[in-house]
Amino acid sequence: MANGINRQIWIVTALIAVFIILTLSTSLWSVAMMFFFPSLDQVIYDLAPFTQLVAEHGLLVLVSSGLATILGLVTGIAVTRRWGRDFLPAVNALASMGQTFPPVAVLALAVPVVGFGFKPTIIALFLYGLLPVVRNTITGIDSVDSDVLEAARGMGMTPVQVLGSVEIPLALPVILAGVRISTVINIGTATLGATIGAGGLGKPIIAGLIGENPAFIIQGAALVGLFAIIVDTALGMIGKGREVSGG
Amino acid sequence: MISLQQVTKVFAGRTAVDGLSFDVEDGEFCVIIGPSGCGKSTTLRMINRLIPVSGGVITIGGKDITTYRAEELRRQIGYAIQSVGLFPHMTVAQNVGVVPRLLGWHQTRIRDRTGHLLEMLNLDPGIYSAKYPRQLSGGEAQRVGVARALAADPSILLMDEPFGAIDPITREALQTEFARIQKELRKTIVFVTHDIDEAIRLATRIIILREGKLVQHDTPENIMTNPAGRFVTEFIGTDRALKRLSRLGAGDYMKKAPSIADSEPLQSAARFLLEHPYLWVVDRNGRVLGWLDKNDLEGAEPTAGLAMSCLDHRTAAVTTESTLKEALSRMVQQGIRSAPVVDRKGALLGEIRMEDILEA
Ligand SMILES: Nc1ncnc2c1ncn2[C@@H]1O[C@H](COP(=O)(O)OP(=O)(O)OP(=O)(O)O)[C@@H](O)[C@H]1O
Ligand SMILES: [Mg+2]
Repeated sequence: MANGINRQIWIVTALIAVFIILTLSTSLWSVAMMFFFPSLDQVIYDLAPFTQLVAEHGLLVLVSSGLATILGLVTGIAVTRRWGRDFLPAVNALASMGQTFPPVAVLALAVPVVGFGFKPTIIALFLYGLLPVVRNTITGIDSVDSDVLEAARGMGMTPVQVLGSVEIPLALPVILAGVRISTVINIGTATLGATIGAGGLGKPIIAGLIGENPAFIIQGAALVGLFAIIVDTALGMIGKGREVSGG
Repeated sequence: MISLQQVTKVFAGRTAVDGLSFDVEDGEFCVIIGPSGCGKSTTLRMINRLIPVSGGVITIGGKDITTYRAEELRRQIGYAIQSVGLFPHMTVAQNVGVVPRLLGWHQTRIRDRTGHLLEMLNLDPGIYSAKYPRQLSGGEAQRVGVARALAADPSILLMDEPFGAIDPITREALQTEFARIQKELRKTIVFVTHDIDEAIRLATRIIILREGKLVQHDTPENIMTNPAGRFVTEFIGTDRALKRLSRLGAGDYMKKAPSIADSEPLQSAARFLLEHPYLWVVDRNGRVLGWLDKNDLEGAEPTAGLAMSCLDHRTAAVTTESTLKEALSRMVQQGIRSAPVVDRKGALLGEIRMEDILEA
């Protein structure tokens, strides 16, 4: 186990290094792109530096996923409490229904309500990212053995203690998996933010699609893809690391 | 004192416990027994308020339990649940230390207490403290569950089939150990079991439940001599006399045992055998090696050593804490008419004779 974790740390470090190089080095890109697409007269997207696009994209994901994680956890915990159980079926139904909704549609619906730009994208991503967190929090907490809960209450733990020292620790792997799914989906979906003016790594992709420039598309897609893989592996490692140390 | 007055529990229209009234005096070992689904676990859960009563009143020390804060009440009552319910993300030591931690004990005190309890339940702290529940066998997990219930030294213990998943030999050892601990600690115990032998062995009073109703509440002796109706008779089974033996301690029926050291020559054995029908043969440290009777002397060279019938004291002997039932079963197993009583090291202390058991 520990060896596997070590290897993953190396992989993530290597991926991050590649990501940084691809973000900073335009000369590398131009060499590669000119090799593949010699007929193009412009091979580097230059309306904004990659560093700015990456920062915009990161901010979109960080804010939306951060909020989604917090509210998702709170909702998931609330509906598994004795006083919140009444809302569980409704929330569950909503969460599964929401997952079948394509992200484009979420964005399309957000625009008329909140307008163009950064904010509506955040809102759409947040709502979309909420669902896996809520669903996994509920699943994780619900799968805690009822005997274990009876023991916890029977030992004299208060409801808050049962939650904090039994339910959450035992549900954590499942909850973390939800956060991971939610964040990775958001990294991909945030690309669409470019269509409504939120910036981010979607910009070169959109520009490439409109201007029929495959080099732009590849630049945006490569960075988004790497970003997603890095976050996915890193969050996966947190889950595994906990399993190892927590038994 | 725990007192139930007309306690009733209804689950979704089905009555699980029906007008149950009984008292458990301080220091009493009360065993609740009855067929599956008769409301034993439900009764325990009502005493520590894991489930509310549908009717009736439960008091502890004269105070209605609903006047306590539920968590405060539960921290004062040790609880070993039927399905063990160890916390899978905590080590054995952390599991045992849960209630002391809730009560704010100091770290070192918790560690000492945990080690002491694990030792008491025959789990070497050095090996088991750091293990996780999924690394334990069912019986080991149950013992950890019992240790956890005892952790904060509560004066009241609720135990729901705590020895259910343990093999008969270990279970008997644990029962013996538990009976000894109880003699010392004098806790007020409500103990649930399916096993009538366990009930008879441990209880000062037995409560027999049937479909949520109390059928009989009495001492084991009275229940065996005066069973209230067919249900109880059938429940006790046909071997009542045998069961009674499990309440009698070997220590109380032990007689002095004739013995001889294995280094002695045959002549002195022969001299002894004029007075006794048989002799126990012991080694230098008094450990039982076997026995010797007149048949063993016949035809033996007068100068030869002792040609005895060998016994392994681990399988043939009992201790002063064993019951007469165990002594009897050893005799039957070994085909002998008397069982040696030994101390922890196997040294001979005395013997239990068949005729004494028959008269007991
Ligand atoms: N939470 C509950 N909801 C509904 N019914 C319940 C609940 N708990 C127990 N019961 C029912 O109440 C009855 C008594 O259950 P209880 O667990 O007290 O039995 P028991 O005597 O402990 O049985 P066993 O020896 O099998 O453990 C059973 O019929 C059971 O189905
Ligand atoms: Mg039960």
